[in-house]
Amino acid sequence: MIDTGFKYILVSNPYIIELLCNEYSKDIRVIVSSQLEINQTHSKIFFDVLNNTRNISYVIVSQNHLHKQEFEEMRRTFGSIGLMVELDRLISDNQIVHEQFNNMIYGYYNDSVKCHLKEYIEENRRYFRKQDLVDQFDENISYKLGEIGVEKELPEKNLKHLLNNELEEIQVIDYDLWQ
Amino acid sequence: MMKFALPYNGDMDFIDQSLYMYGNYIESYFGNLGIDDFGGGRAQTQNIVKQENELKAILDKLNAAGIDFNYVINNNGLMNEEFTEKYQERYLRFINKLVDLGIRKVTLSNPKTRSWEELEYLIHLGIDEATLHYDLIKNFAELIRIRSKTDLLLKLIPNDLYISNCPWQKGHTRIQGSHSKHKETKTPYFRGIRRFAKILNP
Repeated sequence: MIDTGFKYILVSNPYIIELLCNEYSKDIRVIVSSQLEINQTHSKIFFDVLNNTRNISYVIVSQNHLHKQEFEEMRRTFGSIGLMVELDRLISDNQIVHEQFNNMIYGYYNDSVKCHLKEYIEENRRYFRKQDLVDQFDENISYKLGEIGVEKELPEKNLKHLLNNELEEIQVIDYDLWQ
Repeated sequence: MMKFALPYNGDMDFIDQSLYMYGNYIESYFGNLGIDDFGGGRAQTQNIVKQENELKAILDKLNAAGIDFNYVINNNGLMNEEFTEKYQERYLRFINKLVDLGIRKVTLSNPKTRSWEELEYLIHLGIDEATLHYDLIKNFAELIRIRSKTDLLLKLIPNDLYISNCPWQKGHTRIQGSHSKHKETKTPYFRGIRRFAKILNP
């Protein structure tokens, strides 16, 4: 992929991250997916034991169980490792709900899961919430909007809301995935 | 009285002796046949019970002592196949087979129950007991809170190597779950252990 021209790779598997950081010698920029569940200061231990973190561009934090104060502590703790915030995803502080949700939506996607996914969101609506890490556009924070499978108009609208400091207006895209 | 769930290690003498010496403290034995396609959260090479007739002999012995055999089928990555009718039929056929053999208790994937709210969610789904997450082992305040709210049978695992809030946990459970389905697949535990050693002895 590098030879094709790609420079970034989004990964969530801890062993693959270790492989890319410790053993891969070419230049590739690694972005750690929120699927790794990096959501507290203690999580930095994962990066501390890598031989180097030079390749890691960003860690997309998992916002399950993570709120504003802890996020600020994470930013201080992670130092040079940049943290990225997703603004348009469903989040849950119930581990069981979000694990099942993530398994359905990402882990091993197949067509049969679509109707179950919508039903699951509806049935567990009270356990899901919007992001609360940032309340206004901040140039010192990196953001992630959109996802593969979502019509491009939706992330574009959300980007405008972000730049206009209308974060409350940002629409959650999970309902529109895998249409 | 505190009771323990013991792993079945393939040795009938172990059951005989442990029942004889510690019978009052044994809640159940756990294990699997090593022949199912669903996975039990541990590598198949570790599964010692291979034949149905062996399991039947164990169950007869335990039933006579009034102790359960807990069949572990707790792979948490079923490839989303669990939503397909065909897979559900296959799964239920296997559960029926277990029931016919005399199994009355199964352990399904334990999705990190770390609080009363998460346990309450599982109770709502209809569970009969729960194994609580490692992070709760020393969280006495939450344990007391949970116990004050339910009489459900609760288990803790005190004898595993574990790092509080371990960021590798998701990777480990995925590997364990997936690899328990195919004996040929090697689990790179040695890499994990090496990292643990580095963390524990920096």
